Amino acid sequence: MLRARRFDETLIANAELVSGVFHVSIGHEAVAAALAGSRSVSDLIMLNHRNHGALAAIGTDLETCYREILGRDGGPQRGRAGSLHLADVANGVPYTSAMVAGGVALAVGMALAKQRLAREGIVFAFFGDGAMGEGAMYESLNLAALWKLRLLFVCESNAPAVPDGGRANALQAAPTLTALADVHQIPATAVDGGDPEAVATTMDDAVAAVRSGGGPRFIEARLPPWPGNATFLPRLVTGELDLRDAELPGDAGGWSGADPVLAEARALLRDGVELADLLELDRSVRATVQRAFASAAGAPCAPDSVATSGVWSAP
Amino acid sequence: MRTGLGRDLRGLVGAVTLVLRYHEARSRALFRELDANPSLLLLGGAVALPFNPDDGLLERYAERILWPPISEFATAAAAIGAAIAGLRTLVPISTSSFMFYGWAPIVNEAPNVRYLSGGAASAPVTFHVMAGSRRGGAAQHEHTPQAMLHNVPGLRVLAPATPADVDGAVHSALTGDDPTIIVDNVRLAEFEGPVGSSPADIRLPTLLRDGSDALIVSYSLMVQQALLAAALLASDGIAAAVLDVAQLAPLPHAELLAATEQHDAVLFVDESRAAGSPASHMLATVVQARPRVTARLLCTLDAPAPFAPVLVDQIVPGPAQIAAGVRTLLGR
Repeated sequence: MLRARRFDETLIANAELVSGVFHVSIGHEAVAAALAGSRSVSDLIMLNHRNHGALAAIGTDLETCYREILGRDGGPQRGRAGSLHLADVANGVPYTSAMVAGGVALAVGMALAKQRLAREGIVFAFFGDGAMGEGAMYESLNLAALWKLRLLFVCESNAPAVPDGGRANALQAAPTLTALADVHQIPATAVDGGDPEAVATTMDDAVAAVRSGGGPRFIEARLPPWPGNATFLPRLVTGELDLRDAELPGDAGGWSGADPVLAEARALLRDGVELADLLELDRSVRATVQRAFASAAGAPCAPDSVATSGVWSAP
Repeated sequence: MRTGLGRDLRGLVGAVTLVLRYHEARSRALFRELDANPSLLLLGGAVALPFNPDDGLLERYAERILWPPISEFATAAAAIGAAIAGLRTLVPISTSSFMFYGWAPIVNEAPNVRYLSGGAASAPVTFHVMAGSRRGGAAQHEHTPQAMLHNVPGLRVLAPATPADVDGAVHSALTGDDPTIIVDNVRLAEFEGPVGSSPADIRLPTLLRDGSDALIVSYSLMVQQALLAAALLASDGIAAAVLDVAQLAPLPHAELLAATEQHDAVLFVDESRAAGSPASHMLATVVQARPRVTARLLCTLDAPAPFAPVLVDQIVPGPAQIAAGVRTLLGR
């Protein structure tokens, strides 16, 4: 979780080096950690435009990610992909679609392949609450249920609640997002996505059910909207994470009370871990992240020929 | 130079009321048409935003904008259905590739309404998209769908390059009787130019710069790049004219031929990939009519849009590549 947070904070602090738009996973770290804890090496993971946190959590090389986000050479994508399409074949992320719900429908096919080819592992499909507006989402839920695919739908829902209630969010007529899985007879669970233990337990249970061949499952991880997200560049309006805030009560309100990384730190302190040890771990993570960024920022861009190479299997 | 079948800015001077930036002209035209037609409904509000300066559309016309969820298929189809039923609609799609989820109604419903009803019905709907390489969008956000759209009979495809063009395009789209796509480009926003007192006829090609050695024919952002290229060439003693063809479909054949007939060396430039591109169709149109013309095509290279700006510069034509294309054309 710290790797993911420090990765995004460092990027935001250096946003002027990035061409175009990027999206960060601040507030999504507990879901990312739950993925890292429940996945196996044979699984496939379909992420989306907001992919940094999950990749940091599953162990993707951070310098390779930074190089790609900065448009530099060095990784397999060589500056062709950028933040939107970060991938990591070795860790089960062969391709990342940045189209809303686009990856979800691809994940159905990945799970179908696993079923037909009798391959081990399951498929994770990550998407946001916005994807529940797309027709592709409903077609995917239906196919996954009809074909009893080993597919786990994970909705990272960071839409603000509707003040008067009665609807899942401002752009959804259904009362809850899980209700939309229910009608396809896909067992669905809503969980506080900012509570690391709760989301890990929910994910572990759902993954076990999917692995056992009982068909798809659906998780709605309800996330507190992080106030720094914006249409273009995210801004660190909540400041850098300070782990010493874990000694403050968790119900203080505001972002500090909602921050999943602080929630995890509080849980560790309750379990008897010393704050000093957490701070030492943080120093080490920060150093790793900053080394990765500095090295990536000093890396060259790919040669011109890369722009038109890699389009076809053969000339 | 003949001016009878084309717009010539020299002929427009008497009617010039304003010099505007492109994004200012676009907003002015949009507000004018919204005021002129109080029932015109917007499904979404991202015309200038999020990539160009805020023009106040959302504040000024809040009650005219219905914000759908991220539901492009249903939104496109609903806009077309509303237009069939008498409610003129404008759908600001923003990034052009978002249209692909709504592709079926856009290319397989809207253009067929008039044809299949024998003219008894029509679908006067407008889709506005931001196409081309905006930098940093990468493979899924920098498409050139005009090369697909102009291949669909029944869709009017307008790709303005200048403030006068966008003024005319918005007027034509929002008052015309055909389903229309305005293929816009975020990188046009700051270009300045004259805007006439009444909207120009968007069908007519515009000669933006005269020159006797060669003619560059293009549309949208590549016209502005061609003007920069012509300035580069002028410093080398090469006089290149620039023709702006803003209506890609239906292509105004006779007007294109008339506007190109004085030149024996013509470079067609397009931000689309070459295969099936609007410029390749223009080239074919001219060469079939005048087989002895020397013509070349300069397009974006055949690759998805790369993320890194240095790689984008390798595939999308800029002023230097266009100038080089003219030199190749002339053997100089």
